[in-house]
Amino acid sequence: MDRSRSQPDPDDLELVQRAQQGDPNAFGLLVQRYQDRVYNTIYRMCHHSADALDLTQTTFMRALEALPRFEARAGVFTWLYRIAVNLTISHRRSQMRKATLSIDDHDDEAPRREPQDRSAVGPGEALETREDVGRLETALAMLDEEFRSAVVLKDIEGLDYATISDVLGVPVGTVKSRIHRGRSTLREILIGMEKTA
Amino acid sequence: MNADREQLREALSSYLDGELDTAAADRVRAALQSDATLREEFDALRSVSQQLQTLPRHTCPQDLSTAFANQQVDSHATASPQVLRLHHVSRWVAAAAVMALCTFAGWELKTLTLQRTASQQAQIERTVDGLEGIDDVFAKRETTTAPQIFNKDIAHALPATPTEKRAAPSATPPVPGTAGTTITRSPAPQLENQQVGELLHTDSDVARRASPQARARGTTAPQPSAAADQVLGEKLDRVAGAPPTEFRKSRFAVGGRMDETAQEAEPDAVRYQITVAPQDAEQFSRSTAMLGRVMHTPTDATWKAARAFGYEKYTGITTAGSPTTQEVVVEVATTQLGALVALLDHHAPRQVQLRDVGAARGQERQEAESTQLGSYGFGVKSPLPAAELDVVRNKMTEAKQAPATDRLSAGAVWRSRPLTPAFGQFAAQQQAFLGLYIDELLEAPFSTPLNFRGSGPTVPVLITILPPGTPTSAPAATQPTSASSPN
Repeated sequence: MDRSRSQPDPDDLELVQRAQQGDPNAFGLLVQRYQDRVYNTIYRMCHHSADALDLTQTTFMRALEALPRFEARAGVFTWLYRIAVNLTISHRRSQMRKATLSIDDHDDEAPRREPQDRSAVGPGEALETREDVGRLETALAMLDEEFRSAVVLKDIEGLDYATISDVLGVPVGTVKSRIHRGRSTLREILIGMEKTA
Repeated sequence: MNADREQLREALSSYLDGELDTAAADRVRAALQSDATLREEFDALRSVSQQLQTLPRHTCPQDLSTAFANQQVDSHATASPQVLRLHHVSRWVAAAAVMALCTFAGWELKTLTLQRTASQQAQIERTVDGLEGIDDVFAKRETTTAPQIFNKDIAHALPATPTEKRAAPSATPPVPGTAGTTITRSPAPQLENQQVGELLHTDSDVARRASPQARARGTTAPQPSAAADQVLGEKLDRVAGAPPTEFRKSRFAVGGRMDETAQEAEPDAVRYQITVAPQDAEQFSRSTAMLGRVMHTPTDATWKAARAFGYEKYTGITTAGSPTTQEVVVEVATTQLGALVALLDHHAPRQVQLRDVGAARGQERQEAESTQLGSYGFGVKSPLPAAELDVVRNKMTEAKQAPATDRLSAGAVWRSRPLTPAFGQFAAQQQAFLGLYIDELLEAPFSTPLNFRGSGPTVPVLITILPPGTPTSAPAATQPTSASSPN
């Protein structure tokens, strides 16, 4: 998943330009193109499916409002990511989590998943069991916000350091440090879980 | 030398990600060839990274593009449709939360439509009605000092359908501890097994099968059939007639997970037992209310089935000897077990015992150490010393008393600086639900249901709340220090 920031995707830019010029369908196409990726990122950051859906919707609402001011300095997707990540971080900092009843799904039930392509993964590294997935998801949820967002953007979304730096609004050196500490802490948490399982 | 080595360690992730310049990468590569410990650390980081890359990707559960279609770029436009939140505690709370969030973000409230089926909307309305009913029940309860049988009150507060009239309780709650007290109920209707099976299909299951997403996925999940309903009803009938000890172990106990496709009749054995021995009526009342929140949700089909049968069979109330003993089996995620214990302890400090009674059905249970509350966490073998437990209580109290904007930072501090090695291990397991959430769970409206089926494997847990003042075999609990009591 190589998402280099070297050149914005021309198709995205074309859609943005069409939307800015009044094409009523252009923005909907952008949403269709990126809603899954945005949702997945937000879900991995907040680990709450209902909140993730709300924040995804809010991300695109915010993007629609800001579209007239969008300039193609960074890619459209980087811009969307930045909105999504900032919204998620603000949401988690400002809102108390109350225990709620989830109407359509229990909060803990996983949202819909894409079929996994295991052919690209070596036999020693794949998450073989649902328990492994659950353990890793739990460990990820335990990370501090700043480390979790960096690890999610790198290891799950496949962004490079410069793009992550753009998204998070921090220097590249900080990105390096957060990713390293995030992975190290995850490793410690997983070791702790294995010892007590 | 140490500083150099530390720099190399810090560079391992960047090297893994190909983000080092050539000279730096060469230095790391050379170090990895000669330093086995560094190599081991690098392999561990690579393993973590690769595991994360193979996490399943989640797709957006709603197609938002249809909502945004035909939206023109105009920062002054106000669209007419409504934002619909997908989960509600109450419609008013949800609306207020949306307004607050938008106000915080400095937005004008924009509105969009989302598709929702009629059955899902009806389910939401029933749930909201049911929750409002629970609020009434608990509002009354909190003004009284006498403990009540919580499930009886809930039964009369929850309508099965929006039009069902709420019936008044048919008997006065018994006074606990009164010898020979019996609990009277209205006669339960007689239902055929197939009718019971129909009741046991959850509303959410039916709604999910009927949802546009399910149809789009071409789900192969079978529609409920009369034959399947019959089998399910027969299973429940067989278990319901079993001795209480067998029923408690079964998956059909209220709060346990229903599995309508299960072929085996053998019930799962309880893995953990949590016993609460409240010292007085106040602790008993709060503990049973806490248990009610853990057990019941308005959409719980087992609750509807229990009501149809005469629910005393399913709630484990014994009518001889200890008429106010409360028992239930619930499915709890192993990572949330400590949080559940902590919440029960909040209402009956140091009167809670957690025991591992083994997992395998039909096998000799391998009893782990019987632990006092001090252990809290799943898998922590040695009890937390009292001094550490007081530290936990202090932090819980701190987190609860902190200003709302600071609560996350209190939890973050707690997580990042483990106070003792044992607590650090415990915190690493439980921090998702302690420090950050325990204060919020305690502050949540008393009627709000709590779901302890977190991500990861679950185990059946038998929770028993003894009548107040029941002597137990556990060592006498020490009183918490005054500074640490969360009460």
